[in-house]
Amino acid sequence: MHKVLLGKTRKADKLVPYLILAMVLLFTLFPLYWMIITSFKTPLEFVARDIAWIPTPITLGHYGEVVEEGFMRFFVNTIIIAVFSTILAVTAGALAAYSLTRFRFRAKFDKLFLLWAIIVRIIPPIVFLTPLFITFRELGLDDVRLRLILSYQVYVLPLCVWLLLGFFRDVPIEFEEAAQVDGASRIFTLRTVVFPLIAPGLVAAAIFSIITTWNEFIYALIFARVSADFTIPVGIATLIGEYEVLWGALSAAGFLSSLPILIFTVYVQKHLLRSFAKRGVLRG
Amino acid sequence: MKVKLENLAKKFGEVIAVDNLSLDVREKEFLILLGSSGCGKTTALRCIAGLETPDEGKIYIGNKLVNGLPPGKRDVAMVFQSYALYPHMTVFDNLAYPLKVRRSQKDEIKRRVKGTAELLEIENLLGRKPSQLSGGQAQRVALGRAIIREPRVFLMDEPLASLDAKLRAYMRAELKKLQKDLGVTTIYVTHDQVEAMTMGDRVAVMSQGKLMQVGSSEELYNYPRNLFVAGFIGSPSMNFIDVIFETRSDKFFLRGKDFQIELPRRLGEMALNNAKDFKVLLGIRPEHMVIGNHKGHYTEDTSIKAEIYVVEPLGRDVLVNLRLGDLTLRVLTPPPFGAKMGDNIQLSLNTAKIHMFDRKTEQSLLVTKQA
Repeated sequence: MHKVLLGKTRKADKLVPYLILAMVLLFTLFPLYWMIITSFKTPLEFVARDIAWIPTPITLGHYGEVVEEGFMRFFVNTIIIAVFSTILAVTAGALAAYSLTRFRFRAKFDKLFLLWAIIVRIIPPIVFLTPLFITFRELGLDDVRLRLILSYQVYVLPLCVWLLLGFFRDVPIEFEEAAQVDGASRIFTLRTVVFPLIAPGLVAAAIFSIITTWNEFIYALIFARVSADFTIPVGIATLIGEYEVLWGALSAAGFLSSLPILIFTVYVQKHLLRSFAKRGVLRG
Repeated sequence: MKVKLENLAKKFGEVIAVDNLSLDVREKEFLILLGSSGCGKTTALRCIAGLETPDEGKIYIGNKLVNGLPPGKRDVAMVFQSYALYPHMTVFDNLAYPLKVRRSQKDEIKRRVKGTAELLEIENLLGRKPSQLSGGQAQRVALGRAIIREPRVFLMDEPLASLDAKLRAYMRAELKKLQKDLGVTTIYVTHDQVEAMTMGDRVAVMSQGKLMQVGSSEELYNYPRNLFVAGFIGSPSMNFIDVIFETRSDKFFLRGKDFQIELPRRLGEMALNNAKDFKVLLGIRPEHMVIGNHKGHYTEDTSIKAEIYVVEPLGRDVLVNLRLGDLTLRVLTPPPFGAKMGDNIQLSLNTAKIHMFDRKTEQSLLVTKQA
């Protein structure tokens, strides 16, 4: 009897993690599922008493509405802003982190810089809005996309620097010195030795940066005055009116906007995992 | 290719790493920089490589002053203690890297990688990543990366330190042979005196950034110029005893608390020439003393009474620790050794092998002026 009991406990033990996983999945995937089915429902079904788990009939009308609202334009804006913000943040962040780990600074300038970077990240971004606005105006930077690319650095650059710092520290200085003695220039060494070794860090920084800038709302809302300059989050917000919420269009826009990020993350995740395995080798 | 250091100095903040170091490395020589950790030997090597900029002094490779040249332009190859093999590249790519930097032709790269791999017997490893290599294999690849460029000078920073004892002994011999075969001037940093004594044509002993003595293994062992070298070279290390140097009726004596030793005339005269003070330090190696009374060098005049403190059998020898007043002396004696702890014994010194040092300057009193 004892044995039987033990066997049962073991089975239960195995089940528990799966149950927890299932709950987490339900919790995270349900809103996504709800968003997707809502985007295909007819307006009648939103208000129907019985919950329609599978929309009948399926309508693509909301997607048409979304396109009519100018979402393709928002899409293009968002992609340009997210991609260039990320390129800028990862490049500048990598160079800054590399310098901070490799060069000696007077009067603990490196430590102060890192502290300053983290403080910038701690302060609510909205605080920088007015100074940034005035600065851009004084500089005559009128392009909204350029304004957003630059101001998103407030969000992403400090974290890119901090994230990459650890990766650069893991690369033994001897690797670079060996290349230096072999006659390699610093750029050649960075390209052939250092960057391949910190690839997982670059990928992680890029994912983080893309997602943050893709979803950013406040800066985009303030800087973009006309609908031609809207990004997706701002565009979606316009679908929530004072008297009416366009549930169908809202869901369709939400689904469309999360699609690229989902695809990008799934694609990069493989690289991320493979590169993390490499990092283990480096440390071992 | 000769390497010459002239008054080299390097400070890190307040810490003096290299202090006025002058050194001549001869053509095709295997020179060892020996010293304990933090003595500045690695810093000196890095200055030669160009990885550190000296505060003062000149570095010549061949007859060319290289102070202003970046590492890549000095035509030296360096082997690091950690090997510094790139983990994301195969052994082939690691070996090829220095050639790729130089934009060599693909065929040329292939040919030379193959040649180097054959020389080091690592042809079967070319497809592997460094993580798939054993310590000894990684070490060979690191050597290969230095050899492949056919540089004028090899710089090696404790390349054998991370190998296990057996492999290290094997690689010592291999490396020495390789250096002679290639005939490339080599500067090799180590803290291991066995490595230094066995491998080097000459050994430069460093302490606190200063050069203590340069010479062959025999010179360092038999004629240490100062207290540091005397204590550093040889294992177990030399015994030191405070004594008073006396001359009486044309004879020379060293007088300790409870004993007196008559010095051979040759040593006595040399010491008299050099000594500034009659208080000196007597140095004697554990292998140059014998327990019991002996004739010949070991005359009764030189015998000392002592008490056995600890006996440590080492296999080939027995290391006996003796108490002499408040001093501990170490003596190597052949087994079997019958006496026990606490026994009183007589100790004889081989007076021809005695060393004497000035207590203040710590310089040897037994060096001829020319040396």
